[in-house]
Amino acid sequence: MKIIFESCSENEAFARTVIAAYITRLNPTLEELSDVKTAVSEAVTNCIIHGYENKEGEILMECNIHNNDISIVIEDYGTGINDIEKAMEPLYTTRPEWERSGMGFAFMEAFMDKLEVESVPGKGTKVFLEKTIGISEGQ
Amino acid sequence: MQAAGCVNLVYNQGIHDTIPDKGSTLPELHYMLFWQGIFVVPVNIFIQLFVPPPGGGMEVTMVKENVAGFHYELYKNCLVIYVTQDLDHHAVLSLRERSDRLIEAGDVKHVIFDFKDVGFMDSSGIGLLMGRYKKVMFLGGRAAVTSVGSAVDRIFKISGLYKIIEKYDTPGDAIKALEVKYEDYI
Repeated sequence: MKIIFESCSENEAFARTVIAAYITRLNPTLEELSDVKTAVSEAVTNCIIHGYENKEGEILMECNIHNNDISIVIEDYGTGINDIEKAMEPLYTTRPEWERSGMGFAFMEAFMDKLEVESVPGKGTKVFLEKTIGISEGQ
Repeated sequence: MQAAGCVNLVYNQGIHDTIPDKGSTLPELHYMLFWQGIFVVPVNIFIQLFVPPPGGGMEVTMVKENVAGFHYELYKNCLVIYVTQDLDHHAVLSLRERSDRLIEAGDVKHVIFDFKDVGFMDSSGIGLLMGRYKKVMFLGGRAAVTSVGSAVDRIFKISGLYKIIEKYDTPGDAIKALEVKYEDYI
């Protein structure tokens, strides 16, 4: 599944609704569903606020299902991140004036099994998210 | 067949008598408004006077705004914000501006966010709550959250928000607790 949408804040709800509908076939628990929705919402919000700095742009979202594994790619072609390690520190934010909590990447890390970030300053940022659905049920 | 036609005719006439449509004249409308004035207005006044507000019988001093997504109520010096939509970056943009205007304009000491109708929240919501907490904290107030569902509760726990913001079951409970603490304070 691959969609491209505009970087406006209304599309945050759209993106996470699409993902929720797409992974429904794996029969996720409510908790798993809300985890994935939160992670996607964080990634898309990052594209809009930091990638495009609230200006116009395109966001690409790709999702694949392989057995019980879902892998999501969310990509923007905006400003990029200079220091990825610093950006991923909990509570670190470049936008305290907009009341960003600095927890976007921390939430993505907490709610998904795997998080990878690739970024080229001036070119854009690509976020890879992975999660296996239905594992916690057996525990 | 004739009997059925007859019933139809009577039925149509009945409709004409009560609903003002193309057929009704101005005096008929005035007549209806007169009866509405006698029955509907006193019933509304009765509801406002005698039906207790949702804050557990607390006195409502002001009901300010009721817009899509949220509504606000002020109980004495507690501002209660009932969020009724998913709390993401988009929702936060308008809620932040509105709640700040209310905190600055009114005699607000404490702020309470009710999450009864919130099914989803992300880190933008945390930013909103921390920002409002800082605002009332400088004025000697406190912040609380109420009616927190399981999805939102997880976000609060992971972010450590409960260290600075108190959780209560209902807005009424929060108001009672904050008022008591406030009385102790002075």
